[in-house]
Amino acid sequence: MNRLTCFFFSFTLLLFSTKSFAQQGDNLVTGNFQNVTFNEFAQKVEAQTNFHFYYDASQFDSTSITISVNSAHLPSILDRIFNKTQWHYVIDKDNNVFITQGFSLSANLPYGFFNGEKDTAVLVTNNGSDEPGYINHPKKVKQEISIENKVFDVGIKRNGMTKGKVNIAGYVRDLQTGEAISSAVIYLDHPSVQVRSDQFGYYSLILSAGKHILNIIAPGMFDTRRQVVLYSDGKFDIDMDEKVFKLKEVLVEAGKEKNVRSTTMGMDKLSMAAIKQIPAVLGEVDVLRAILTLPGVKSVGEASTGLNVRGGATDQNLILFNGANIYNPSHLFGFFSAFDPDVIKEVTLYKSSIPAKYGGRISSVLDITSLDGNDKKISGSAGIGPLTSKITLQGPIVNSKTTFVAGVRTTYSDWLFKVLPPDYRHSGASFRDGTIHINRKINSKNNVYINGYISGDKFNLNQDTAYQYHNKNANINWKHIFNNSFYGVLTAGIDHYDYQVAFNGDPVNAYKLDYSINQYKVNADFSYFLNNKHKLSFGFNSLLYNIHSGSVSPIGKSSLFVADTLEAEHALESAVYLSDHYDVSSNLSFDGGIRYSIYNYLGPKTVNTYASGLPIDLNNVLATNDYPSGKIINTYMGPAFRFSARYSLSENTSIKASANSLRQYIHLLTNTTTISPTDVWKLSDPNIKPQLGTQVALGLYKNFKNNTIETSVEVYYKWFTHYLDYKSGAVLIMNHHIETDVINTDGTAYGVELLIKKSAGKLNGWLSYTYSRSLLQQNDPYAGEKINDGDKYPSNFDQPHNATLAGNYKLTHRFSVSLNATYSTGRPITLPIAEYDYAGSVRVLYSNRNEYRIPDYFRTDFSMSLEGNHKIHQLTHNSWTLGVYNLTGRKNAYSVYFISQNGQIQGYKLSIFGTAIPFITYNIRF
Amino acid sequence: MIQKYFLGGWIFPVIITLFFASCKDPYFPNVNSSKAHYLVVDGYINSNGLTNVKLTRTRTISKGDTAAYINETGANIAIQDNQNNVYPLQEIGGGNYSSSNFLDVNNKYRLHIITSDNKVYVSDFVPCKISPSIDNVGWKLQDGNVQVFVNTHDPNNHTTYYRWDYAETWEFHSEYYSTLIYNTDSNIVENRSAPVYVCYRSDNIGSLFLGSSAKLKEDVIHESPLELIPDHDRRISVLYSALVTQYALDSNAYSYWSAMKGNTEDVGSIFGNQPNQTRGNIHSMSDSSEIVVGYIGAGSPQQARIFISNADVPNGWNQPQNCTEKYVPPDPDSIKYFFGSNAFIPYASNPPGSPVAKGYFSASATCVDCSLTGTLVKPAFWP
Repeated sequence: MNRLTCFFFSFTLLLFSTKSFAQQGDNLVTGNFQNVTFNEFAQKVEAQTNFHFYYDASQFDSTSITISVNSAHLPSILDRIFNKTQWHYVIDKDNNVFITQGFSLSANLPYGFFNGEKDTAVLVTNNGSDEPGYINHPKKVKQEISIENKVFDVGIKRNGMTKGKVNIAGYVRDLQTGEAISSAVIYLDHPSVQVRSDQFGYYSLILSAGKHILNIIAPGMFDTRRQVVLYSDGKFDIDMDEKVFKLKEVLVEAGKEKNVRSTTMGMDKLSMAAIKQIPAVLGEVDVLRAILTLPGVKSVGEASTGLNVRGGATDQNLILFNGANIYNPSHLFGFFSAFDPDVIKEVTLYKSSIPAKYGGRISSVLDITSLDGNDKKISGSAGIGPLTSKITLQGPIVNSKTTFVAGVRTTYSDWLFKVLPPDYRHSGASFRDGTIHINRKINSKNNVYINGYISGDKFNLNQDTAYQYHNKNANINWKHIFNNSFYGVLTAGIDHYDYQVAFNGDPVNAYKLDYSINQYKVNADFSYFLNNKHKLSFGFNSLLYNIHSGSVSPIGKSSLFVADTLEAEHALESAVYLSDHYDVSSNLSFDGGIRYSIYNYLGPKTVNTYASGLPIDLNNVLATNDYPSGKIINTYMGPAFRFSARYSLSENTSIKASANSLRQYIHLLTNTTTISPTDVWKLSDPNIKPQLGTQVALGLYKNFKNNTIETSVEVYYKWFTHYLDYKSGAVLIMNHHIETDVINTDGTAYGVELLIKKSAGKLNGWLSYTYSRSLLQQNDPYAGEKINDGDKYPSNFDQPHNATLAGNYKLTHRFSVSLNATYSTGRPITLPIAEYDYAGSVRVLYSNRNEYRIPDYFRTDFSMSLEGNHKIHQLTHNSWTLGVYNLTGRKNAYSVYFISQNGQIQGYKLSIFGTAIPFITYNIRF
Repeated sequence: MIQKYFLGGWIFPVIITLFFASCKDPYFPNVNSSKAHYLVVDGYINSNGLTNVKLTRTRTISKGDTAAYINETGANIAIQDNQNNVYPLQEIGGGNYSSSNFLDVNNKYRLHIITSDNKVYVSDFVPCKISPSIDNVGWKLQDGNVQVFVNTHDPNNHTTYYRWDYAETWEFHSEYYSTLIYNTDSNIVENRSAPVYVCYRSDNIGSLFLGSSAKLKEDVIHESPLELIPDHDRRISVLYSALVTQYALDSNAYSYWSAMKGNTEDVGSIFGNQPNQTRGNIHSMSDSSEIVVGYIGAGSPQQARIFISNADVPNGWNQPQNCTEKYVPPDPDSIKYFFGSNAFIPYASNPPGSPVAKGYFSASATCVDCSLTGTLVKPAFWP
């Protein structure tokens, strides 16, 4: 009996109803119970009496009862069992017995009474001093009690039970905010069936008519269940309650992941809660930097948020924000990512098996989704940091049918330059971004989602040259539910990226350079729940590129700069896809997909044809053809295959395999190590072939300790072709024949990723280790020059060893600490092999590329988060975050270089963050 | 002009100061320097005067540049034109070879080298690029610093690519005018016969200055920046002069020089351009894969000189030097101790002009004797 007391106080009021029917009788209990579970005890009592027990089974799973009674009244038995424990019981007039822990229920509670008038004294707490702040929120408890035990009728009720299969579908949402919950698992024990909600929170399930109990679990939510009686096809929405407190709930997450296994491998989903735990540079919560802590994701250095996923280049990632393609996801020279963390719901990175609906990049897909907007009330948050301030609002607009989320973030970093030495006083840098998402429920079958995103960066360095770049994106999505098992989403959108460089330093040379990308897209994506074993996805994507590859023009009357404009590029990329998620059995499932894409390079454009078998240079031009507007200049097409499979070896062990091929028709031209704002995107054309990538991967997954500890091993091998490298002295900007300056390069990458993750309890976080290589090879016989004699050489982001620890420990409800540690091999670098004197100074001679490495990288970050009090009903919720970035102050090398100074060669190591950097931020939620 | 599109080296200092934390530290990785010593050919075929070619070898990279310079001696060098005329150069020591020629500017020229180990190297034939005259060399104040610049133009629009050599000379004065000198042999302080107050110093700026008008409507170079002289720099403490030599380049030469500048001067920025491995125009006749460093151009350069006087720059340019004063009593031990070590030099006796001094006013040596850091010989062109 004492074991009862070792349970932590838990508030998870998942009442559990036993299935036996009450029998008529005098309601006296007789029996000799020896070490029986409470469950068995309750069943036996229910068999003898017409009492009906309601309790949270998980609270009793290690309780044993030993008692011997003969014709005893139930209250006297329960008094003995629960004496000196936290347990309380109450019996209502219908002989329902409610067992609660830590507080008692009033017997006056009108059971079955929910959704209604004002209620009094639903809960009577027994111990004032132990009472936590949230217990004065009785409605939630009431709702849990009532809604889980209510039997819902779905479909058209007829006399007598219908036979056969019926379809039930609906949305899983957050009770408090109305936010759609994706990846919620809805499962039944009998028959053993499970489905997941999609990105809209939508699920569809085919069951036999009759009574079923749906169990619903989702990360960060209280597990819940619904009792439904199915008569015919119908709609059934499920609201889940968010876990609002985080302490002493060690048991809560246990056991829930065991069903959460999918065929998708190499997919990482990070919720904002997890991202916010990771200590950030200057306290700016940053989704891309959080992604960088995941195995297989790297960047070339701290000044870059460009991602290298599994040995791929930074331009091989499709970065989607609410479906909008973001070309430059960084702010302030790449120190911050361009996404306001307060409007983001979750971030999903696909690095291995990529769903067939995505295409156009060969390395990964980063899908960032915003919140849907609270449909109950207007709420918001605001944050103040040393560099930025931001505010976010969300709520219903007219009624709960239309909700919105809007966030703006702006910087005032300009002031920093004013206090700097005079050399920088005329410099400035600023950025801002804004996000809006509107969700309109027209009716139960039609939803419209409108997304808008805008970001801008501006910086000028010492007056001379001013840079600015902008992302502007908008799209509208119409979701239509044809029937319970079939829905479609029609999307139309515009993605825009532009930059401008203006040089004003000298009136004769003053010029500006403009570059912009516009792309227009129409997507139709359909999901068809064929049955519980097959879920089909199919659709088509169409994307029209319109790239103004650059134009320069003089500024001012005295400028002699010659205006020049590169011909705009146009192309149409269309694709159809079909994929099937097939659950062969509960142990084996497949995902198979094919995506066929057709790429048309369109006029108007003048295109050079070069003699085959000779180097592509201007001496070998065979013909120069002008193509009129809309004329198809050339076409690339081909299939891409997506396949993955899962086989469960046991309850908590599974093995997965995947093979994926991808095609990419757009290339980033850059000869800098990191993404720079003035890099040029170039479309494939007759002389520049599309990039093709293929990846195979195998993974083993095993969970321990009630699935609170997840471990995995994934190995992968990938290869890609037609990645662009550059000839020495290549001109990438304003080049009318860029094909003469680029070289085709092939790449291979392979690696093994180990991950241990603890997702529940006071201590949570993950530890990962990656061994990976990324190699390039350039042996194009017509390139004119060969890098490293045509041998394989490491790419800029080849960092073989990488280990990351991201941990969070909750000391109390309100106080938690996070620690983040990262180690990786230094990235490759080209160093000179000799020095010599020339033109009055000493110079260096470079030879083979990337033969050396900068020193290894090691960094530790620490942060503490202090929340205000936990009362749910208060005007504002405040929190403080303070911490230290680069705790050890290690001067991690960003680059190593040699420079000729005062007639001498001097080697330097450049570190971005050369000391420990403390930070503090203050956030308000309202 | 192309460089201006890129962020180049500016980003780096901004980031430093922006975050008060980034830093660059001297660092010397272990580099497996090439064992081979490649031939380096530094020179220019002057069609209208002295051609000087310096032959050296690349050397291993070493900390503090301790590796020995390797001059290539005993080579046979000649200028050849495409009419089979040959103009041999004379070896004048230290790896230098020279001759004076007046060449037909309508021909193409190359350098033909036979090294002492009988290997033959030739440069590509290049046309003579005649530099237009320099319009002027000027300067302007930029955030308190003096930015020297050059203006030029080619009315025929033939030149487009330019390179400038920059040789500077400046006059400077000692902080103290000394009438006294310490005689080491007799350990006494005597009257100085020649003053050490006005000195001159010359330097060749090792930076590469390049210009291009390729993006402009006319072949005009407007205020192309040369040396930047920081505020308070002693070079303009009295009078400063720079001799700018302008070379006209062809586009290949411009690419080569740009790459060299990029590899050794514009590195270390956040965005970090990849090292550029552009090869020069000199090849080994026996092994085409052999690395030979250098680009040989031909033509005739132009020169112009600028003077900048301290009176032209804002008041407050000159700041007091860091000088230590010392009053030395006239006893032999003190004199030997302070003056014998050359740490201090006397500049006046106490009382001034007195034949029997009660003591000597002195200051740190370089503050009194400018010839320690310059020369007393006035250059011929000095006003």
